[in-house]
Order: sequence, then C-alpha cells, then structure tokens
Amino acid sequence: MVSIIGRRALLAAAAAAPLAGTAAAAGFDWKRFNGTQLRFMVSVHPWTEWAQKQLPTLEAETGLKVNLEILYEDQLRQKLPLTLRSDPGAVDGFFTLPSWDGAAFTKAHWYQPLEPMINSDLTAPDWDFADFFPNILNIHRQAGQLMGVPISTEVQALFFNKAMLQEKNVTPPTTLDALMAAAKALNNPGANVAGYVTRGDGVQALYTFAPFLFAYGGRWLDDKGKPELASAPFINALKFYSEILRSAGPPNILGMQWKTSYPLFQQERAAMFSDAVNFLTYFKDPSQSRIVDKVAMLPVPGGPSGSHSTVIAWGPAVAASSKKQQAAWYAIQWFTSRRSMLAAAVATGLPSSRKSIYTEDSYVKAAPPGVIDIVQSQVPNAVPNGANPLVVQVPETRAVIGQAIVAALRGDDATKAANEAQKQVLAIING
Amino acid sequence: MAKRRDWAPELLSLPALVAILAVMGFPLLYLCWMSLHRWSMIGFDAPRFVGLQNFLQLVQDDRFVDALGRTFWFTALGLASNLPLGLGIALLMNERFPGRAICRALLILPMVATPAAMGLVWVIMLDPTLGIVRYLLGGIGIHQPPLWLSDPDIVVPTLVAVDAWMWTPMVALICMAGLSALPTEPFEAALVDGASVLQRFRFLTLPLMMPTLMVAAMLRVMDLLKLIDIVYVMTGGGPGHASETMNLYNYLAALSYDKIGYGSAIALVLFALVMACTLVLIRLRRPAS
Amino acid sequence: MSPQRRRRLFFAIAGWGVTFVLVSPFLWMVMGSFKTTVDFLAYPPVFAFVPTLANYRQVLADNSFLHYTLNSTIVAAGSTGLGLLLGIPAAYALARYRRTGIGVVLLLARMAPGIAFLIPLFVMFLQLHLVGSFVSLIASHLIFTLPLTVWMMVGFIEAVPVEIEKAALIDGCSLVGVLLRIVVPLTVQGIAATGILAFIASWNNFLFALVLANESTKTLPVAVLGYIGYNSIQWGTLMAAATFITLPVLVLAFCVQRYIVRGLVAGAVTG
Repeated sequence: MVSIIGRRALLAAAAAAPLAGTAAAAGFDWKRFNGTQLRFMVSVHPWTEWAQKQLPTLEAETGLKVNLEILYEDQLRQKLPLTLRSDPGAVDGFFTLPSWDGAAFTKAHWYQPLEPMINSDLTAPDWDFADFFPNILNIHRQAGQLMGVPISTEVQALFFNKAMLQEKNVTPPTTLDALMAAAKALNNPGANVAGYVTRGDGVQALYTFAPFLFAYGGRWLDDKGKPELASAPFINALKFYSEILRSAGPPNILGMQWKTSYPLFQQERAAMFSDAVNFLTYFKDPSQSRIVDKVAMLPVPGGPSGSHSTVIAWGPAVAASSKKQQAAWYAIQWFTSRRSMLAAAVATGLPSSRKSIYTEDSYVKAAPPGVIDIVQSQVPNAVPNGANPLVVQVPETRAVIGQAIVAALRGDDATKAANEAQKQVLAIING
Repeated sequence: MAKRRDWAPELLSLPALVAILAVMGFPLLYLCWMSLHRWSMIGFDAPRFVGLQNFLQLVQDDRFVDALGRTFWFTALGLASNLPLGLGIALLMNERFPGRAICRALLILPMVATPAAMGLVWVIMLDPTLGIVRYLLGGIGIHQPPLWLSDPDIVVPTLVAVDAWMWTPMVALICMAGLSALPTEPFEAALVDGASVLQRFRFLTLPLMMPTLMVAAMLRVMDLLKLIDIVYVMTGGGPGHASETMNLYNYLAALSYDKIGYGSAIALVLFALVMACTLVLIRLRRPAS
Repeated sequence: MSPQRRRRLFFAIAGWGVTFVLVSPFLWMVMGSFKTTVDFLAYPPVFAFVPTLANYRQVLADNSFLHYTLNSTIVAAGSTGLGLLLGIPAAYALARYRRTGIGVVLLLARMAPGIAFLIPLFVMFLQLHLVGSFVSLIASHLIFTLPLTVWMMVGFIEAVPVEIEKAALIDGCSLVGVLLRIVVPLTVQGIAATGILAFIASWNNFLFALVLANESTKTLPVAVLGYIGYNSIQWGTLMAAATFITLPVLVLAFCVQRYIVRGLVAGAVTG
C-alpha cells in the first residue's frame, strides 16, 4: 500500500522525466560548482520530504552534494540560531518561515539577499523570476530585499462536511454571523458531535484566530510596530472566537492543538473545521479519513471588514555566513525551477507559488479538488505573514497573546484579557 | 591511626570523577556565568553582564512563581499517590497467588516504555471525544467524563496519574525488596498475640518500611521536581500555562524565547530546590535507620 | 471454598487486576499498531477489526528506521559501556573504602536538571566540532548512566563477602587486581542488571538527542516523533514504531528484573 505522497511522487517522476534535458539547453552551466558539498537545515514539511527524494537527481545534474538535514520544527528553531551564531559557515542554507523568523533573522543579519544573484549570470535564463506571484514573493521580502524563495502558498479555509450540513438544511456559511448560526445548529453534544472545531491551544491558536481578527478589521501591530491588541477589533474577534467554540465546539477545546482537532473532523465528530488548506490532502486519504467524499471547502468567513485569510510560505534561504553562497543558490534555484516546482506540486498537492503551474494539466489533475479555486480566490485579499505579529521575539509574543485566547475560551472577560496581552507584548517589544 | 592514607581507592574513582566533571562541570559553570548575563542568540552581540538582575526578575515573574508552586504541587501529588500505591502493590505481590511471578515481571513494563511514545498513546486514550477512556467510563455509567488534559483544574492530577502509571512500579519494586528484608519474628509474635491485619500493618509493617519508603521518596522527589518529558509531549505546558513545570519554563525560556540568561537562572533555582529537598529527606532518614 | 482458597482467589483477582491496568496502555498501543489510522481514531473504539501489517511494513521499509535502531544501539551501548568502565571502580572505592567524595558528586549529578545543560553542552560540542556525533551523545548520556551505575553497583559489591578480598590483598594483590579478578567475576549478575538498566535509560532518552543529534545519529525516540508530520499524524505507523522501540527494552528488562530490585534498594540504602 503506497501512501498518497508515494503515489504522487511516482506520477511526478513520470511527468518530470522528459523535461530533464531542457535545463542544459541555454548554455547555462549547471555544473559550475561541481563537487561542492552543501549543508541545508530544514524542517519537516511535505516539500522537504519531496526534496530529499530529488537529491540524487540534483547531484547528477549539478554535481552538488547536498546534506539535507530534516529536523522537527521545534528542533530547527532551537538548533538553527545556535548554529548560525556559534559556528558561522557550518550551514549554507536553511528553510525559513518569514512570519516567524523574518524579523529576528534580519536583525541578526543571517539572511543573504538573493536578488543580486538572481539578476546575475548565476541564475539560469529559464528560471523565470517573473513566474512567481509578486505578493507571494513579498512574503519573503525584508525591507524590500528578497531573502528566500517561497515554495508554496499556504492559506486557510473553512472545511465542512457536506452530508452533515445537508441533513440539517444548513447553508454553507460565508459570513461570521452565518458561521455562528450554522455551528450552533450543527452542534450535537448528545451525539458527541461538535458544530465547529479549530485550534484552542493558546500558542497554536493565533494562526486560526488571525482570519477572525482581520474580519473585524483588526491587525496585530500598528504602523509603528507597536501591538494593537487593546483595540475593538481584537476584543470583538476574541469574543467571537470564544463564543463560537464555547457554545458549539468540542468539550475539550481548551488547549486543543491541531493534532487533536483535525481527527475530530476526519472522524465526523465535528461538522466544520478551520485551518490550513494543506489538511485537505489528509481528509481525502481513505486510510485515515471517514469524510473522503463528504469534505468541501469555503474561503474563511467574512466579517465587517471582509474575508481575509492569512497567507504564509516556507522557503529556502541562503545563509549570509556561508562560504559557498553561490553554490547554495545553485541548489536552491534547481529546487525552485519551473520543472521542479511542478513536480513538487504534483507530488505534495501543495498550491505552488508559481503562476504557470496552475495551468499545467498534470498539476490540475493531481491537485485535490477545490484547492486551486480556494487559493486563487483568497490570495488577493490575504494578509501576508498574518499568522502572528511580525516582531523579533515571536515565540514569547505568541505565548502571551495565546494566553489571552485561552482566557477568553475559559470564559474570562475578553477586554481584560486583551488589555493584559497588550501590556505584556509592549513590555516584550520594549525589551 | 598512624597508617599512611592509601590513595589507590581515590585513583579508582578518579576516571569517573573526571568524566562527570567534564560533562557536567563545564555546563554548570557556564550556567552560573550565564545566569548573571543577558544574552540573545539572535545576532552576534556579546552577553551583557547584569549581575543578579535575572534572579530579581524571577521573583517578580508571576509565571515563574506559578511554575514553582505548580512543581511543588506535582511533587506532593506524586508522592501522595506513588508511595501508598507502590506499597500497596508490593504488599499485594507479596501474597501467594497463581501467576504471581508473571505479574511481577509485567510490572516493569510501564517503567521501561519510551516516555515520548507512551505520552502520545495516553493523549489519544484520554481524548474526551475519541478516546477509549471515555468509552470505558461510559460503560460504567459515567457519561460526562472529566476533560482530563483540557481542564486547567485537573490537567495536573491527570499528568500525575500518567507519571504514577509509569513510576509506581519502581516504588513497588523497591518496597518489595524492602518487605523481603523485614525480620519475620515480630510478625509471628504479633500473630500469636492475636493482632489484626490492620494492627500488624500500622504498628509493624509501616514503621519497619519507613527507611525503604524514604529511599523511594528520595528517588521520586528528585524526578518529580524535574518533571518535563511527559508535560512536553502531552500538553506542552497547557492549557495556557496550567501544567507548566519549572523545568519546562526553563526549557522554553532558554530554547524558545531566546532568553538564555534568564533560563539559566531558572535552572539554577531548580537545581538548588532539588538539592534542598533531597537533603531534607536524607536528614529525615538518618534518625529512623 | 476454604478460607485459604478464597484468600488466594481474592489476591489473584487483585493482583491480575492491577497488572492488567498497568499493562493495558501497551495492549492498546500494540493493537493500534495493527490498525489503520481511521480505525485507530474511531469512536466507539474498534476491538474487532481487520488487522493490517501495513504499518510495520512502512516502518521497516523506511531504511532510516533500521539506521536509527543502529544509532540507538551505539549510543546506549557506548554510554552503558563507558558508565560501567568508569563506574565500577568508583563504586568499589565508595563501597569498600567509604570514599564518599565521588558519591556526593554523582548524587549532585542525579539531582541536576539535565536539560539545563543542553545549551552549554551544545555550544561546547559545537566548538569541538562534535555536534551530531556519537561522542557528544554518549558523553551527555553519562550524566545519568554514571550515577545510576555507581548507585546500583555499590549495593552489589557490598553483597560480596569482604574476606576474599582481604585475603587477596594480604597475598600482595593490587587493588586493581582485586577488582578485576575477584569482585567483577563475583558480581557479574549485578553488572548485567546495572548495564541493562543503564542501557534502557539511554535508549529511552529523547530530550538530549533532540538537541544534540543530527540526521545521521538520530535515535529512535526522536524518530518516533517523526511520524508527527507537518499537518497530520500517521497514528498507525506511530504505534508500530513505538511498539518496535519498546520491544528490545522489554526483553532485556524481563531477563534481569529479579536483580534490578536488589540493586536499586541496596545502592540507595548505602547512598
């Protein structure tokens, strides 16, 4: 029994093979850094799992020997800064998530700006920089400079169980009010079924809470980089999040992480679910999901200020302290070429950051149904890197704001919680 | 005595001493030094000396004070559950019944399991919607089971229960050894005198087992004060900070929040705490033996 | 039924009941390793299901898993071997000559919050270019295997009658000779038990390896966390991996469970 990823990888390999020859065409020397050994520190991600399988091909075509160190996200966040700081030159490239790392890594001067290399003879002519969505590229820009290459477009969606909604004659909701009503109507504690489930764990919940904040017109930071948490939109979003989950969520919503929320939806113990679009692949996997034919998606619900998902993107970056920056860029551009990105999109099902992929037959056929629409319809209004405030001290700030969310979910006064969060985040930022 | 001191025994323990000082000595000094500085891993600034400021900040840090109290609560609950249960299981296993040898062998299972993996198994078993515990409780008529790891009021007892599941067998094993070393005459005499089971337990078994129980208590106290494995895997300290122990706060402060100096200060306070508690228990043991 | 039999029945039920409660999470884990994820997460829980070997096939087909098993074995064997090598002489000094200095140091080591040493150790090994090497893992595991070894061996050594050693010393045998030719052979069972407990402790440790190991030296407990993906957990495979990790340790523990008790208690009483 081959897993979903396995099957797709086979398809991808078949699709990619005929294109193997094109790279050598334009007189660009892919083997310029033949024999160089590189070390990349990356985190567990469908894309990095795919990338690891491509390493032999990479070496065959470019002569580069890449040691792709795959760590868990927590591990990467601990070891990467320690290594970049204490052993400069040990790491040539790494996987980065600008919403989390961006401010800190920029302050530490750990990123190497890529555009000088992109606009030089170090980049293959057919790499096609213009093919990337400009606003997705912006996710990886710090002070206007491009520091990494986004490899996917991660937006959020409202998942729902078609059968359960039809049974109770509930129209799939597109606004916050409709969502609240639908959740309450679908909630059935007697039958052990919740109307709506999403993240309830403080630190993790910021991600799924963000679209509600934006729907009320709020934002994490003001124009001067100070937190805007004591604002009416934040308090209203907090009240909404707490009301819907307390009245229509599972009994153990407090502290619920994504690892126990999505199984509830998968096992038909919840009628609706919000989180990243990536989850669709697992909802469509018969070996783990009961809702393969029943799951559908909608854009995140809209409030007084419209519907705004977050859009984040992981991507490889070059370490500023690396002594093999150019070779590292070669590896990165190989992995992010049109051919590679198409193969990756087909293998992982992740929505790509390149425009051309969306019109390729092989991807359109391989993409889980509805994903392309959901991504394309939400990206224009999505908040880039909106998953948390873009400050240097992200984990600490997330913990503090997470406390406010947990307090609200516990039934405490939302205004008090918001004010407390505002006070503490200010203290953290002011150092 | 006029005999010249024989240094050979010292030489025997020297390699071990050197090894421990190498892997522990440097880190400990580093920890002490770091606790007097402010240092961020982001960037290349050198650590900044701040004297005792980290420690002063600790005292005013609500989250630290809460974690401190909570760690003591964990330890107290742990001792209160592990020791009686361990002794009980030992007394049970002391009785003859068919299959006793197999039971005794199976007892060690929870002790040797990989905490990381077992923690995840427990998370899914305790899930209020999907877990088997809910199912079993429903079977005996409890249809509104507690929310276990989601309820801030009972997340600590729940984690203590999982920890107890893992380590009570160790307490039981220690007690079994202690029981087997007890002299038999007092018990025979008591039987002749007509003492009841309860009287025998209260006036003979318990006092005679005190030294053994103290040993078990010491081992458990050291580990309970430093509890982090199962908390990290099962709740991450949550909901909110409801299950955060001092060791977890130390781990998060140093490795997540990039406050190495502050984390070091927390670690030193924890170390001092464990030393103090262990010394207290050692003192308590001396008079009894 | 006679009171005697009634009594035995009562204790049998109680004894087996307690044992069952203690063992049931394992049973659930092992059962889960033969289920598909959708069956594992099903509610009401599924007891009658079509067992599948797919999870085990997936765990073993992934060559890395066997590699991680090798890593775990190397680290555990290394830290156990080193612990015994360094610990037995120290335990002897402590047991026979009351050189409590080493005892105190090791007790302190036992009390220290080990993970607080992770950053200094990481930085230290980084400077020595040893991060991710087996040396760094084995060395860091000594923090708990060495105290454990000395703690337990003290008890076993004290059980050996001291007259034999005294006689050998009078005959002109050196201290090391006494240790190697008399004490060690007589405490072989204790050494085995100690070694196995140290092996288990090292095998199960994951927080140290999480920070100090890299891909090529990753140990099993850390690998188990690998079944927690970016957006999903392969529960069935996770259970299979977890069962797989626990098995060797179980077998080893069963072999020496009689001696574990002796060592644990004896060492503690002296300590």
